[in-house]
Amino acid sequence: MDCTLVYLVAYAGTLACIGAIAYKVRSYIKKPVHVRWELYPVAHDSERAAYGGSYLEDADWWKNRQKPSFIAGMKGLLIELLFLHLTLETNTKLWYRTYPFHLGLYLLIGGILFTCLTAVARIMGIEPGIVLTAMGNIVQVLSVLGFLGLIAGGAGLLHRRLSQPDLKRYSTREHFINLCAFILLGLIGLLTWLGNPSFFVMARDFTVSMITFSFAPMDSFLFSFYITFGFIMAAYVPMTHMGHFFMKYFLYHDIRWADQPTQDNPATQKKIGIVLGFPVSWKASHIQGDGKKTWAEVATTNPTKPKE
Amino acid sequence: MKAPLNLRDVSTVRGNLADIAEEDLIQLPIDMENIPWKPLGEEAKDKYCCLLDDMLVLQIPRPQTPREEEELVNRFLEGMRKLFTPENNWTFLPMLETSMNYCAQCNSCSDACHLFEASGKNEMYRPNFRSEIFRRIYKQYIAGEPFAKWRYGDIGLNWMTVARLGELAYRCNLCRRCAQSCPIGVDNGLIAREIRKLFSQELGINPPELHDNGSMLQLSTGSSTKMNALVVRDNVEFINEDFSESTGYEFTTPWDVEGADILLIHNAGEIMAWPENIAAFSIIFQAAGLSWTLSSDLAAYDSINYGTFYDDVQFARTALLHAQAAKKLGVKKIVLGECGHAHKALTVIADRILPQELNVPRESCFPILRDIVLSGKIRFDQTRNDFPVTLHDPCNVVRLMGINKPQREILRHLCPQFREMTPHGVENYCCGGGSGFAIMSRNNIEAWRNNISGRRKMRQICGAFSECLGPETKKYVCAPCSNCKGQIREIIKHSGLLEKNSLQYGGVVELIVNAMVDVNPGFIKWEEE
Ligand code: SF4
Ligand code: SF4
Repeated sequence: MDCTLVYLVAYAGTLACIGAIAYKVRSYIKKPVHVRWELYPVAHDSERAAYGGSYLEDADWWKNRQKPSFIAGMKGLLIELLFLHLTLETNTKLWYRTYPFHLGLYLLIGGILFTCLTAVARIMGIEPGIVLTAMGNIVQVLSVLGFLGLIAGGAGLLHRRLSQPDLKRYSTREHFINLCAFILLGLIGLLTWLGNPSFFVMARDFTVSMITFSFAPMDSFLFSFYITFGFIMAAYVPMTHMGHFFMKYFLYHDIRWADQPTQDNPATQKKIGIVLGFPVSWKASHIQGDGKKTWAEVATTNPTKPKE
Repeated sequence: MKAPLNLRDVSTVRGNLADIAEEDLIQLPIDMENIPWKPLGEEAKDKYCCLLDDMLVLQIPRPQTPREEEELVNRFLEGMRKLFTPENNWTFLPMLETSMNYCAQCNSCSDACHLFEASGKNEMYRPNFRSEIFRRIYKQYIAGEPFAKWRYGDIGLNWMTVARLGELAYRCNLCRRCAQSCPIGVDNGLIAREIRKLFSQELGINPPELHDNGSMLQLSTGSSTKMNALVVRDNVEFINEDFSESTGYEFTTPWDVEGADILLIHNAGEIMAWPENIAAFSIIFQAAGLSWTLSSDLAAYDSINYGTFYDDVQFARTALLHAQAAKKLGVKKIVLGECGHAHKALTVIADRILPQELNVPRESCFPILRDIVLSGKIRFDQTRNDFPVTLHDPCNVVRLMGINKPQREILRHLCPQFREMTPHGVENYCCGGGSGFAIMSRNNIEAWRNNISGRRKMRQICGAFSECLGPETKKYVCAPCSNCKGQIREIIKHSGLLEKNSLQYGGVVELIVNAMVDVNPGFIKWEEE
């Protein structure tokens, strides 16, 4: 079967996925400095995170503030990402559905990573030894568990969104379409897995072919359908609210946990100088921004005092 | 209970959108009397947009013609566009935009909200209710997402939607407990504040208590209490004399001391409402031998910064005045008295607003008080505080600043019967007066605070004192924040809980002075004065 179109979709999907993530990340980090708006506990305060404390608990805190722990911060984020622990705490019934769904996605992503490694090994001519064989077996297991997670979790979420009136009121067409699409992806994947001798071998050969631009034909229609649909989803997801899977890093590190005082940070001091020069155009009478007056000018104007 | 609201109802329902029946409210184990909800008068209804629940915080002028209706929508959209530009909203744009784009609509935040819970899960109080209305307008009209109407549904944007959104922004205490429970990091409290900002900064519509009689008064006379520097100094002088006599401890309060180590800034409301708090600070600082001063510069004797609740420009103006006063005196640091929002405003938010030359170090009073109490410089008699004490955690100080331990260390040291509320610390519930409500009493706002917003906190307080709720045991709710004290005072007063349950309230410093050996016993009073 000539699968050129499948490959083209795969390339386009990969580029669109990377492009969308890069665009969103870039547009976030390009934004000017914002005010501090932290929320405790802050995970990178390794000594005090357990009870939600901060360096502000010390008198003269600026004299010997403990530096934030990168490891503790990453650990906090990873625990949230891997176990969805806030959902478990606040919405346990939903967690039973959303966790298998997310876990399914993580397992599939893990499977893709292993597949890529074995594909690279194959291109490099490395003989399939015990490690590569084990990797192949792992991919087989990760894939089927991933598909099952997507199907079960997705169906559970769909059911909950339809059956719980309070959740239904906030569920949009997009939610239902997304969930159906993921369930469908899981189903096609599962059928492909069941209907072929080795899902892993197909995935690895496809990856080799993609990397080497050899556009090798595919024997399984289901697999080619799975690939096409999978790459379309990969392009689509970062463009929607599901982009939270990568934006969470910023939501946590740059907003929720951003407790670094300005006095320690010359870069922030410089950025504050820039934003204070931004023009203001808010129209209320106590501001009278005309699009020319700067923040510094507006903030140093007392609207209750006669103009000098 | 009526059928729950749908999002689209904001644009279609005529008259009130919601009402909360008494039987829907959560039950309390004490005899708390609800304040009857009075229907708004015809005059108010003619003049203002009264479309939510017979409570009127914002007082949006009611459009009288279709043209005015359209104008309200257009002005709102104009303001909303500005909210999403870096020039006009560099302060909060990343938080706002991410809160618009990444909510999963999972409603995991709902149960975190004390208003949602206390109101018997009334849909209007679901943290995501107002956010999702705002979000859908954003996606359709501001971000212009493809097929937004079809993908997310059209809530209908008309003058009623706008008016209700404005009012809905004031059915939130900005406590950010919902944000803390959101797995993604979406902040419904922030969204409420941004809507408040839009109305204030673009349409010039804001609650008079926060703006005309709040931040504007502070900028003109120096304090939202209307006290100018002369009056404040006179009043503090009077407090010095009065409390020196009653405590038997001779003390003074220094003013405008150049080169002092500390500039202490009180919430000036304390001077009028809780003079014992002002006296207690002066007594403790003097007894500890600190080098400190108050400032009589414009706004520098009142730490309030109501811009925190509704307006970034007013916020910045006030923060600058506070910092300038410290700079002028050449103090080493600013210490904030027992006022939660002032803590957060000047220590944290202003940190990226003040230019570097004005970035004088700023800190909370609690660490320094803890150090004094534990240092042994002052002698204490803990038996004077031998009554049940529980601690309310002001959201601004604890959840939003992480200042959790110092006040507890003081209470554990000085109060043998100290007990925690459940939950406490960063998971505390708002007192119900947060984000400016504690100073508002009109158009059913006092009923709202008493019946709904303060209810969850009262249930916590009752829980902490469950074994001794009766009048025979004196009990003290330590609420170290002017705003929280104002809210708790009103509830205690309205239901006579001091007489019925011997429930008293106050700050941390009062407990410290109450236990000081060098002070006459009985600093804390158990009867109404
Ligand atoms: S704000 Fe967070 S917790 Fe609430 S509905 Fe949105 S994603 Fe869920
Ligand atoms: S900020 Fe507080 S009051 Fe406002 S919606 Fe969230 S939990 Fe409720």
